[in-house]
Amino acid sequence: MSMFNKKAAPAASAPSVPTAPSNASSGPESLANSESIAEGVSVASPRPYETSSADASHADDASRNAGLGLKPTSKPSILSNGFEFEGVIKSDGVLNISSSLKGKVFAKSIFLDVDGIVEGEIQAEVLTIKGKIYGEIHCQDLTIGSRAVIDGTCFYKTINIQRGGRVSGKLTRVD
Amino acid sequence: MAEVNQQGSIFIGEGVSISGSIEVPDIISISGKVEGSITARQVIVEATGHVQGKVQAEMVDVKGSISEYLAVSKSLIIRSTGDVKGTVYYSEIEIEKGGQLQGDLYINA
Repeated sequence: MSMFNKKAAPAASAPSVPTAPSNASSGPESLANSESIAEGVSVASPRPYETSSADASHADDASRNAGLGLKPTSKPSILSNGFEFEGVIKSDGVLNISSSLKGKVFAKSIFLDVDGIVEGEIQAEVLTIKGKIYGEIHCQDLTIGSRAVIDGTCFYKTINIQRGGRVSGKLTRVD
Repeated sequence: MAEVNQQGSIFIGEGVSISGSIEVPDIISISGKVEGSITARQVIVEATGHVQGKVQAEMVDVKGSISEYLAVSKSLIIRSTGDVKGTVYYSEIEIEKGGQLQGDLYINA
């Protein structure tokens, strides 16, 4: 039982897509994370039943996830600044991107932070963009922040652009 | 409403339909239907306003609809009931939640 918890805890605390140099210090953590990278190109957030749900601090996550229709224990996958990825990323949860990505990203909810740059295709239900996107966007709710730069094709259901956002390209509303 | 009836401004009331080419030095406030081309300093399309054609202005505030061509040299604001379709050139843009924007967007250099 204790061994099970030990293995689950690092996976819960560490982001699902770690940057290789920063994880070199902690032994068991880097082992678990390098396993997940070796599995294949697509990286997914940790499956909810694998993580320990005994944490009271995740009550906020639970209510937010419930509002989005996600499993209460699913945590956001975080791609931090400095991380570079080329390929396909799939998640059935929340994706928090501050990194540079080339390729395709599919998730339920994506938050592209100010440092985030995505080249390629993004598909999500809820998309909040504060960084840069070059390519194709498919989403239901699109929110564009004041420092966002979007160049490409957007398909959305509802849109919200804050003053300062720079959008160029083709916008189409799909029901 | 009286404040837009100043020198250089025109107010098009609800139910009024006008077609042609309109050149407005100051503000044009549209609550009716305009077909044609509008050149103004500021274009305000109220909730019942519809514009079909070419609009060129410094500032545009849309609560109704604009279709075809819109060139805004300064800021474009699309309110929650606003609907803009067509080719849009702008320098600054803001869309409130509920607003709609479809077409080809270009940022002024």
